[in-house]
Amino acid sequence: MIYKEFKNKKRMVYKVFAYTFLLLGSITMLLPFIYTFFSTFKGPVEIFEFNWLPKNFTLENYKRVFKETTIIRAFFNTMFYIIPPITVGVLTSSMAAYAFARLDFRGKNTIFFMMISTMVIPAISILIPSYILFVNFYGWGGTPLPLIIPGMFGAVLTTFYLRQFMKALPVELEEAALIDGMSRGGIFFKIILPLSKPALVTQVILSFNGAYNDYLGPLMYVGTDRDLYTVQLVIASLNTPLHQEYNMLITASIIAVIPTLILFIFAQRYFVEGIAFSGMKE
Amino acid sequence: MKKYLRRVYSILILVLTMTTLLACGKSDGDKTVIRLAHWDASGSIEKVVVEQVVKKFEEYHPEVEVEVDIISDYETQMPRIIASGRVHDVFLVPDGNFGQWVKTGGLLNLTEYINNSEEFEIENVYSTAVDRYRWNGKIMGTGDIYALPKDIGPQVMYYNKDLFDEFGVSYPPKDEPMDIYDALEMWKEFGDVHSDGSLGDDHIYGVPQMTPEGLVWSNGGDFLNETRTEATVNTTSVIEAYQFLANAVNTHKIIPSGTASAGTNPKSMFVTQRAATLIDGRWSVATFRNIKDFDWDIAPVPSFSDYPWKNAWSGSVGYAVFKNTNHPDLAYKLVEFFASKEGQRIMASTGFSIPLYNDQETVNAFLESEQGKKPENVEVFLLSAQNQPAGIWQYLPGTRWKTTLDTESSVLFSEDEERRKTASEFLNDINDDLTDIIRTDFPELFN
Amino acid sequence: MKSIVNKIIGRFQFKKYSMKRNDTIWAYIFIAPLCIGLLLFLVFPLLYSIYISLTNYDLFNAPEFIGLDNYSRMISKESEFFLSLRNAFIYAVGVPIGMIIALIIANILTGKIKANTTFRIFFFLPTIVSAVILTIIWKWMYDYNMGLINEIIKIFGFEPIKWFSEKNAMKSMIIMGIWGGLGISILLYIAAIKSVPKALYEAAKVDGANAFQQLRYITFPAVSPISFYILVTGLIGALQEFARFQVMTNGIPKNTLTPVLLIYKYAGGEYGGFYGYAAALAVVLGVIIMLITAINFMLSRFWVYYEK
Repeated sequence: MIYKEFKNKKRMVYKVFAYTFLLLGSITMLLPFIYTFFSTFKGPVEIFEFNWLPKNFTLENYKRVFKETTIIRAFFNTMFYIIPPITVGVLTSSMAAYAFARLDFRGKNTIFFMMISTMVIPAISILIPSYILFVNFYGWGGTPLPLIIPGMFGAVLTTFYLRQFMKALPVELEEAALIDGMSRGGIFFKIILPLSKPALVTQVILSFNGAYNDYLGPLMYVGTDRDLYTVQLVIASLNTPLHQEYNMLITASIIAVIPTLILFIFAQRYFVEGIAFSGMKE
Repeated sequence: MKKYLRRVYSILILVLTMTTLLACGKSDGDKTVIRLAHWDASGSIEKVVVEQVVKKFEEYHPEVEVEVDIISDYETQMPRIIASGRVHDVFLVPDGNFGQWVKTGGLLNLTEYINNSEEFEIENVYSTAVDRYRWNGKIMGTGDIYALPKDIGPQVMYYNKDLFDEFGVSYPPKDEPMDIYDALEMWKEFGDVHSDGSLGDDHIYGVPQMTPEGLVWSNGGDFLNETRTEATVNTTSVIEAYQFLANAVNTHKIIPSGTASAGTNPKSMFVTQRAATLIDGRWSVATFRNIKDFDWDIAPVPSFSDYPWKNAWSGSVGYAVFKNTNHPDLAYKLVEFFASKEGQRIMASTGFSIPLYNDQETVNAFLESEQGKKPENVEVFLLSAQNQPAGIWQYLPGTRWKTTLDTESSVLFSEDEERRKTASEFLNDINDDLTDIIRTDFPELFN
Repeated sequence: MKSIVNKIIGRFQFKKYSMKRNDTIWAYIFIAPLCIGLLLFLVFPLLYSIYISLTNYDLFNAPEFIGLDNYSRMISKESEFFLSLRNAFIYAVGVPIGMIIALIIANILTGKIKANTTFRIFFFLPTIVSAVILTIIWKWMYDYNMGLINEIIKIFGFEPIKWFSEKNAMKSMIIMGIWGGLGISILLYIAAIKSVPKALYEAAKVDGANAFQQLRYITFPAVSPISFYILVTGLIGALQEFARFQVMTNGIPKNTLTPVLLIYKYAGGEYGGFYGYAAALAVVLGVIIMLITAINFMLSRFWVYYEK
């Protein structure tokens, strides 16, 4: 009896600790955004002032962003550029990840480490050779193809992550399937992919977020043609050194967050589904 | 899974169709196409104005079609375009990038064209605007001309009239630069510094930011020698200028110290009335015209008395013609049109720059067009444009020496009194280091 | 069914051999797209960069071979490369700190917590906004006179902090880095914790393991492969960090000059287009990061728990 009381007390302490931690953390994360959100209702001069609530509340910024920029068109452009590399890319990455995680083949470790090594050279220092390759060799200048095609072959970062995830999956199911005579291809599609759902969803969210917020890539390949702009390029075009209109910049940025937010909230469900799968495994 | 794959296929096909469409989109006709690369530093207005100028140009030259590429993040993008060899016939050159780009040999020498043309009246243009696009094969500022200025953006001192009234301080004169020590007294009026050096809650800074260039030049000093092979920051006039800055921050507290204000936009300090004045360029007028909380005007930037009007740097961008263009004559014609009186008239309407010409006719037309708009003392811009040279980033094709000077100069303002150096100690220490950097980075200057 | 399984087990010795051959074929099929992609799109830029590092490339004229000049310049007196390396290593301290915070939060968020979806969104918010807006937000947070952090500090009666003084600048950047990276790490940890078989925890509970023991003996080993991933990519990312520094300090004070920022200054307009030297810096930095990554892989044997 006493033990149980003690245990309850302990649980209480943990709960108090957990909620305090979460609340403090969330405040740290949220405050800047609340401030930024309020700032979207300020005028071009008031934006420089450090007051929380706008003195002269105005919706002008939102109207102007939709009227003066091509943000809607840019949104569809962005989706068109990033959906193929994400959907196809996560699939090709997970195939490679499975091979590196579970299959034995000659040169596995060497190939894997060489792959990881492609990440060590900072991206900005291969921008110019990449540009020459895509524009002069493949002849893709002025088109979004350099943003779309390479990603469809998979990404090292995604592969690395999925390999780590798959290495942690229990091997029993696979062994049983092998004994049942299932091919490696079958195992991958019928067992590994479903089991990796939380990881795949995570990667879709992260790849989407990364590609959606990418600035340098789109800047290089479609940055000279306003009709091909992505959302981030539209935002950056509001950040002009000689004529700063922070109010427009901030408002466009807040609008731009919405799609990722919706995707994230929607994808939450698949984490719940992940539990059901892990329950089934044993 | 099959359903998923089918979806993937359909997207693939979509991509391919899109590409074909994009590739076949353009057809040229019989006109000669001139491609122009332009930045968008002042936002959407820039695009409108450039297109207006281009339209007018096409009216005069019906055989030409100008294709304008407005390129965002211009300074980042242009190098890649140069590397790929697909450079536009005409492209914008910010004065800070001029040295690096002209050194590669990619810019067409325009001197002959200018001598044989009447559209660009070089004698009526601010010489400071043209000189920064000269290059003699080694250094800039002298020699042949490789680009024509698009604009000139002089710097002035903006001041908050309401604050001046409230503190009973008389407005700074508009005809000539205030002596820097008089200005110091003026700026101190707004401060609330306790006897122990701490700041009161109502402390208002005199000026949120001041760069050393104008002080050094107006005091008769310079950062490098004429041939740009040696640093000269250990001379008395440079030392005096730097010591003035150090005292203004450390003792008088009329300028916030760099470390305290890092992150604070100087413009925002002026707009929110935490600073009484602001040294800034013509380009800020467009933003300031939206200020509703107080009245403001402009005056020349305060300076030392040797060369009072060499009181700050001015900004500029120019147009250059790509050396390997197929249509050098037409490309030059376009560059020239931007720099001609007619082109300038169209562009000055934005309020970001002033016209390049200083003849009476142009000046009167400009003053007339500005009437009824802020600032009242608009002629201060014209006076300031006369003598303000390019910034010191234009002394050499690269600025590692300047970055080093700026970074290290923080010891002048160190909070830790023991680490703090006087201007004389600091500049004597660093002078040879700067020369060494120049030697490493630009060996060709020493041949 | 059972008889078939028995038959296969009976021939297992033989089967194993052909299985392995089969595995190899499947493995090559599986890694083919990724390898082809890397060959087509990444190998050339990488090799070209190495070549450029041996030349005095200025973008416009053909590169001229100058041997190892660019590399010897790196060790010259006023070279800032070693300073910038040191800065990057200090910055990388934020990686493990961020991992620990992320693991704690992820652990709480996968427990019985009310409104955990809402909390997850809050923590993920910094991750989904663009870099431009993040720097605007942080400049405002760190403002000495009116910034949010100093305003709060003043409420509690302390002296406001100069966030970008020489003493504090790197700390400020580390805090900003942790804040911005937390969302991704939390998300990765949540996905990892969610896939730990529930039965393990139930069994532990039956055995009387408390919450901390469950964390120590079940959660921690189970998420160790993901921890390894976060550590390796986090370190690579930290040593290559640049955009944030460029906007926030641009290398002033000196202890916030990072290697990639230095590369950017040399290759961009500021220092004057020394593309060969910039490429040499990138190659050396790449080799250093590769060594660190290799060490990480070797050390992983001692703390990363893989199934099998």
